[in-house]
Amino acid sequence: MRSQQAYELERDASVIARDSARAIEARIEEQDLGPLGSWARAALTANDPEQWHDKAELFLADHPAFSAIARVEGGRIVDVAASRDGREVLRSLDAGQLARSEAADPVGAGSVGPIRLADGRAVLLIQIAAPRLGEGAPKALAVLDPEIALSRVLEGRATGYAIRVLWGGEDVYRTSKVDPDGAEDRSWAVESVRFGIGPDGSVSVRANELAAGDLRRKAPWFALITGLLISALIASLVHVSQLSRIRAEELARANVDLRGRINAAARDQVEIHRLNEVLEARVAERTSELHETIAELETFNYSVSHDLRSPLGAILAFSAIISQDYGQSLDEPVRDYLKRISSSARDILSQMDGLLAFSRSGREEIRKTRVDVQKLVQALCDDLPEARGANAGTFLIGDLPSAYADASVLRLVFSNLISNACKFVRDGDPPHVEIGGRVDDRDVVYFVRDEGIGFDMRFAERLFGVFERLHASDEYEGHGVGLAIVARLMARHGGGAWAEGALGKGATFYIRLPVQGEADGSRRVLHV
Amino acid sequence: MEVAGCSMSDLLLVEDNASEVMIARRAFRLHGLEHRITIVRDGAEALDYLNGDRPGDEGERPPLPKVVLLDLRMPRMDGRAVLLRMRADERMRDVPIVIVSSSQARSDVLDCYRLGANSFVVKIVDADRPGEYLVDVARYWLDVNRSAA
Repeated sequence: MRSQQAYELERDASVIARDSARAIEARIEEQDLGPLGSWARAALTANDPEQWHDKAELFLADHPAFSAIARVEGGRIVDVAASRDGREVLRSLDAGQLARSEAADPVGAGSVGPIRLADGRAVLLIQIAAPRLGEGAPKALAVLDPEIALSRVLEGRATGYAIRVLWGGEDVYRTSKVDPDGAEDRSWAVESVRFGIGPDGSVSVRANELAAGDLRRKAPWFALITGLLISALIASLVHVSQLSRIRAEELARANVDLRGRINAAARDQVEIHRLNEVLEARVAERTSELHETIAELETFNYSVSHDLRSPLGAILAFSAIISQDYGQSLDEPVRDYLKRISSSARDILSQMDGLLAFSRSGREEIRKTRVDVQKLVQALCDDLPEARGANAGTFLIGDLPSAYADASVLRLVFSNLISNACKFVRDGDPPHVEIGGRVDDRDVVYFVRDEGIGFDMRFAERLFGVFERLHASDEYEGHGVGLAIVARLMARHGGGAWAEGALGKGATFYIRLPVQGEADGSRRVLHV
Repeated sequence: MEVAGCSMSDLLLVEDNASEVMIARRAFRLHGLEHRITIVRDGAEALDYLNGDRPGDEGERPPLPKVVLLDLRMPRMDGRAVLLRMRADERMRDVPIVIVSSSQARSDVLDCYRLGANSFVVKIVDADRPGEYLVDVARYWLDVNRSAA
């Protein structure tokens, strides 16, 4: 199956091959063989041995592809202009070869053909005669290095050429660009180039389309360099050109595709960038809205708690006043009702005090100084009612590192934690509380451990919520915000709070503060 | 206890809330302090009292009280304004002033001290002994403290 495209490619390839062969022909003629023809005429016309030698040297200097020129008289070499290499070639010529070259073609110049040298290279031996001067005129032999000649011809041309020289079907020369294994592929011999020197002494190179097989049969009798076959490895060129073309098309398609993708990616990038900006703006907006809302809620919370506190205080106060000043004259049910009013108001007050405290913990400015936590905790424990009396608890205070924090906040936090530890004990047990601390890489961590009723670890998170309590309020009193305040204040310090424990096995509460602050020397106060 | 036209009060309570006035009055009465207390209902009235500008004072300035218990949030003239005026007044500069407020904000506390308050007391809701904390405060300033005034 040959597609239209394949056919076109092949046709294009043959055009390219022909053009290439013509270009090679033109350049060989111009650079090497052309000058040889005209020089040969001039030299032989001059017939002056001195002049001949100078001209030969000059020619060799200008034409590096020729390594030697010899003047032949009567079947013998009488003068030589040559490079060292060329001299070797001439010396290796045997008498038979010289005789053949002399007898080759009485009317023109002929070739004795390629000579294989000891090192494996091949050179071309070219006989130059001056037919017009008659039989007895001196002759010359030129040694041409095809590798140099062809490399000069091919110089500057696209890569992908390879040159192969066949002599009588024998592969006598190939450039390094010929794949040594792919040699006998008939397709690369489609084009051949023939050298020829006409009867007038001019040298010509002709492109031919003989296949390698045909050349084998016809080669010997060609005018000057019969049998010389320079096969530019056109097939390789064709192949390369096909490949290049296919690759170029693929590349073009890939390029279009890629450009499309790049454009799409660029558009995506722009879009992503835009979306990101929109998103960031939205996040910033929402965050600021959220902050405002939180601030409003805090204010609301604070003012409600604050404003309600006074009338609630009045309810409590007047309930007490009625009961104290007029209790005697009241019936029992009235006194009971009064008690219920009072106790309900107390509950509200307790909750509101909790809310107020929690609200304050989020509003109060934090002023960090270096705090002597050891002293602070010691003082707190000394002041605890649980530290005294018949049922006094034990307070084991370890080495507590100092902290960079708000002193009053730390006091409140430790007070909450220690009073919790004292509060949640089994009925009638005195509290046993251990307080410790350590400094990590970046944090200072304190703990308050008790041997009380503990808690279920499943609820460890809930402990720190507002009004979250794991025990009935009539069992253990408190407004349920103590740990929420601890968590919030620690968060505001850039630290945190967490708890570990088990039901009936005590609890340990941890607080963590960043060590930092040492750099903040301006506000550093030691052992406050 | 004199509410108006008194010239001999040791303690001036400035409080706008009627309930709290009643509670305070009862607490002082229970502890036999009512005759040493004068109660006014806002800042303006407090300054009028201290300056002897109230109707019936006839321009005569009463002796200064041993202490002023001053609420912060009041109509007409609030506690801060009273504090400022008293501290700017040559005659009243040294009269001890105790701020009695329901505010627990640290900023309020700091403000008041900076304006020259001598003490800051947060109102206590005492469900068993209403207003007793005022008696405690009064006892200290009236009987224990020695003032510069």
